[in-house]
Amino acid sequence: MVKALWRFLASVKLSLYLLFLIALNLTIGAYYIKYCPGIFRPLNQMLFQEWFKVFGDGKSWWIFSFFFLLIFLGINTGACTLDRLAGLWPKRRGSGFGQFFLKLSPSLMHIFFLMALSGHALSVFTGAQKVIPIKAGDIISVELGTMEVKEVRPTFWKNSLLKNPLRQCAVALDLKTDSQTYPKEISFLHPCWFQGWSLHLDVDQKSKEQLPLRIIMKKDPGTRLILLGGAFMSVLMLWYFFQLNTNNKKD
Amino acid sequence: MSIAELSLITFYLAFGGYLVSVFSGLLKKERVAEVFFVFGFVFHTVSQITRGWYLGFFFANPMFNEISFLPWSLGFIGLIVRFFKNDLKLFSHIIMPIFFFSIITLVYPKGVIPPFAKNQTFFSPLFFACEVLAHACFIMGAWLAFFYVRKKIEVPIFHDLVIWGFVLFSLSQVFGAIWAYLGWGSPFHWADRHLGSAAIWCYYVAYIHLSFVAKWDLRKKAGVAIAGMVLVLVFTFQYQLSELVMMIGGKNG
Repeated sequence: MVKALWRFLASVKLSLYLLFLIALNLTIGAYYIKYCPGIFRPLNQMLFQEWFKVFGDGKSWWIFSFFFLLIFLGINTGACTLDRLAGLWPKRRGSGFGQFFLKLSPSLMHIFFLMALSGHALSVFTGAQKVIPIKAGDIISVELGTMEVKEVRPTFWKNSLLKNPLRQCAVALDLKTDSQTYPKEISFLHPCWFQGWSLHLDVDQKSKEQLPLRIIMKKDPGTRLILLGGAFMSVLMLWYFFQLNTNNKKD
Repeated sequence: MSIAELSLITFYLAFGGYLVSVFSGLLKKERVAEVFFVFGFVFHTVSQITRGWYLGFFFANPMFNEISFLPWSLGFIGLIVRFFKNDLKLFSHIIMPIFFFSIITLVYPKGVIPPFAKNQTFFSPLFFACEVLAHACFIMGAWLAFFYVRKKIEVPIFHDLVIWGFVLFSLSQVFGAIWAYLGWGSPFHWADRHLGSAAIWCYYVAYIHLSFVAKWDLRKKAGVAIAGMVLVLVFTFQYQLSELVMMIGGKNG
């Protein structure tokens, strides 16, 4: 009974069904988001459980099926990886390290995938986010103390063809905790990190103000796992298929 | 002549080259088709590079805009396939999607999406370059899979193209995630664009895993590769349509 269950969970056929179903589920979800942005876009600013209390209704069914399929895929990937590693490990001395690492690579890719997947789970269910409109001179109370906007230095493209010529903007901040003041500078695409928070400069596209700046403050324990897992998986994949290609040519 | 004009003229010359190449291919004059294709591709390359200076200053993103970069990428893949497989007959099949997507470039409004504060990072052009190259691999792979199913091509080149397309697509998602994190604080957003990319990624992960299930032979895989192209086209050109609306509206932020 246990063996049969394990064989079912570690089956590639199950992976195939799950992956095709997830692709279909995501396609449906993409259209829900496109046509009901008022319901689903707030997910980007809220944790899932908070969002569900406010917006959860019949239209959110696809998110539940998506989570269910992803959990199932996570279990399936874990079982497949363990199964494969158990088969590979006793053979580790049979060939050189290079050959063994090549055989091991798909399992490592699966581990990095699981790492990224768990990062996404952490991002969706934990952490915190705040969007704070700012202008020079503002002193704002935040979780870590106060944040003073010391200076705002925008630069513009010198091109009359551009309707929105904002090129970059540097914002000097003083972050004050109970004991100390920390001077920081942020600009577009150059966030700063402070006591587990990341601060990203943003511009409110909907505002009609001249320079509607705001700061996205995020505490997201999943980001590192998503980025590292995704990057390692992709680079390893590039190396793996390149090696396979080279080996096939030699044969 | 301004750089923008040079970019347009060289594209028209490229299109002319592809057009003659297609007709030569239909008349079974493969060698002539190949010469005109290379002529077109060289001009297309010049057109793509000059798009970087379209606004009078260097901005890399327009070089990798899907509408113009997709036919170039298809041409680039065509050249690689031609070089490695050394099969002149394959050429008449390869030129067709390049020509088709060049027609879309030709009729699409000219101009470029201007820069905004949050695409001033090299992760942005890297993301677009890898993504469009991946789309090109998927499309060319599906096109050649179609001829493989119809037994007009014996070698399953489509499979390699789909695999390399998947690798490039995965890299593009990493570059995109880093860009999204730096700019908006999160590598993933609940947006149709991100979900569409995730759907394509999962679909091709499934394709890669077909090799481990015995009953999925190459012909069945070819069918899956062809169906994948539909998914890619639906998600890709949906955004081009939005982009078209944005261009007509003149928004740049």
